[in-house]
Amino acid sequence: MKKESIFKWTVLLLITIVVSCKSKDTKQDSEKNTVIVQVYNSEAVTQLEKGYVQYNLKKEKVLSRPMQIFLFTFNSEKILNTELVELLKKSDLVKEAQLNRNVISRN
Amino acid sequence: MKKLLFLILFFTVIQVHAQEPNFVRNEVLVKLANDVRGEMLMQEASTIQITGATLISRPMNIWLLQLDPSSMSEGEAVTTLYDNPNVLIAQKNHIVKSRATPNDPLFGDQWQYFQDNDKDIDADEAWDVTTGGTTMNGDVIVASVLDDGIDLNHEDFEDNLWTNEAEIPDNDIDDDNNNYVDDYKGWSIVTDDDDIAGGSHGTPVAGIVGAKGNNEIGVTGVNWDVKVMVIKNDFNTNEAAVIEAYSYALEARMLYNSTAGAEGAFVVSTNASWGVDFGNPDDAPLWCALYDTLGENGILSCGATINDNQDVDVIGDLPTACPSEYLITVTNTDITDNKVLFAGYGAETIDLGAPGAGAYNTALGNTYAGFGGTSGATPHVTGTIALLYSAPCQNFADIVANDPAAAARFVRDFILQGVDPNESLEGITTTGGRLNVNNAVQLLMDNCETLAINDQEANPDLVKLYPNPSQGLITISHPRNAAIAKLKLYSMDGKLINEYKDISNQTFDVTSLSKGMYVVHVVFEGETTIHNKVLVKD
Repeated sequence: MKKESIFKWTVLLLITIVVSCKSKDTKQDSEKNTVIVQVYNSEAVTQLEKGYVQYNLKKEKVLSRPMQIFLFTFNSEKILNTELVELLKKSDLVKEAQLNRNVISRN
Repeated sequence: MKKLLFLILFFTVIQVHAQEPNFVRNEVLVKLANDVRGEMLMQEASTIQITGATLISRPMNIWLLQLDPSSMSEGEAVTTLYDNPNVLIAQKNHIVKSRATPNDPLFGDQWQYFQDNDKDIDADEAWDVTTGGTTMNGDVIVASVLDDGIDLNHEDFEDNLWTNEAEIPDNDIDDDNNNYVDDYKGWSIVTDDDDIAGGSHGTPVAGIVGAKGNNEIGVTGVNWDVKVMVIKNDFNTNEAAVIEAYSYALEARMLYNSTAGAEGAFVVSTNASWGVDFGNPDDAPLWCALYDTLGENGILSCGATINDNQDVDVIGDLPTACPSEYLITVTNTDITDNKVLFAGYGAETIDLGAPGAGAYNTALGNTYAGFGGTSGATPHVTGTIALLYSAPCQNFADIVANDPAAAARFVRDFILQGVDPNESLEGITTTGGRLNVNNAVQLLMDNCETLAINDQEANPDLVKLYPNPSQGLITISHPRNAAIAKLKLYSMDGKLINEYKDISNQTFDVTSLSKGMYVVHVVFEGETTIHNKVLVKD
């Protein structure tokens, strides 16, 4: 195989690797021990903390008062963030839940 | 002989020039006493023949009067009008000449606003109509920049940075009871106070939205006058901080709406020059839902898409793949008016292009520089939203007050319909075009008359008027456990005919109206929805 051809294949391989890395699952780029939860009413926060005490679920802060969205911390050694989100979504107390992904600037 | 001809020609030119009026013929402007309407002057027996009266400014009760050309000159009319005790001020309707080019010394470097080849957003033409500041009803327009802070010592923001005047700075008390302690200069999610200093990224973003214009300093933003609310967030960050930052702007506008402008801030747009590459909206239901909530309260949001040549329809992106109708998504164009190669696109997700590749504006360290990427493109749209709210259209200002969500949708439509078609964006964006500020402003002005009553929400079963048709007293019936806050009567072409202030007995009188069809605008206390009913006067 000619050197020129090897070079071309190497470049192609590198591009594939770069694109592959960029297209990775964004779920990996999330805070491992926090989740974002919207509840139906503010009383639900305490109930959630009690209901998920085995994961040390704790309200960290209010993110949106009008929309009743809260940031919760938990022990990520006991449950994965993706699993906890799915679990919370099934709760009658929870309107919506999601991971806490990282965000980047765009210039 | 030649000298004589020259003198005749010279004086003829002078004479012709002197005869060109600097005002509009057969028109005068008057400020009337409270509760006096222009039509009343028409009906009064007077030496002035007034053939038409149009309300120009509701808060100031200023009217444009049309004069019968045969009656008297405009100057005589002004003098005569001052004899009327109901006329507080009268003047000719002077012709206003363009002052579109601001005197900022670096304006010439801001190619995004003006280029000889017209590959620009025509901001200079839009500034002939409005340069920002307030709505026709006097709301101080606020555009919110969610970013890494701002250079508070930059010379070119002057009074264009929003401050919360209801809060006393640094006294550790939540003076305005808005749940944010000492939020005077804005709000920092990082430090939970108003320390918004910083801004290597936020200073150019804020400058594009609203660096002070025509102040003989530096550059200008899309708005010469506006209030930029800075909400600081150390980007790169996470979604929790994003939601928290948006919520500050949301709460400020909700408070403004619920107190009829007495508290809070009139936030009309937010800017997100950041995001999650390849993010899937299904994984961010709370973040995406925020845009609907913001929109329902009157705030349009702008999102910068990925800085890579990727199809967002396929790869996903946050926030620009979020499906909200109140989110405008932006990609990046350059000085040649082409999409930048490394900028995202999407026939279903990305709305339009805007200049971002080296768009010249403010920079950290009290300097000026080119700023790039979709981060630079997006605030041009954010600023345009704010500018449109300042358009001199009373009907639009009334919609803003009565139905903030509808007003936001109108602004979105004018911006998206007003794009300049652009080959490099065709088929890969929802509009196929690049932002044109002037087109958007002109669309709003062209539709000003019809904005009054059309396209408003109405529940036909909720409010009933009887008798209808009627010649006199009309009763309003409704099942609401709420009082009627506003009742306005419009002609079918959208002109406000009457405003009824005392409707405590659920009746109003139309005896003095001419025969014909009218639209009655009903708004209940504590609500923003307008209920329109057609009324026929026999």
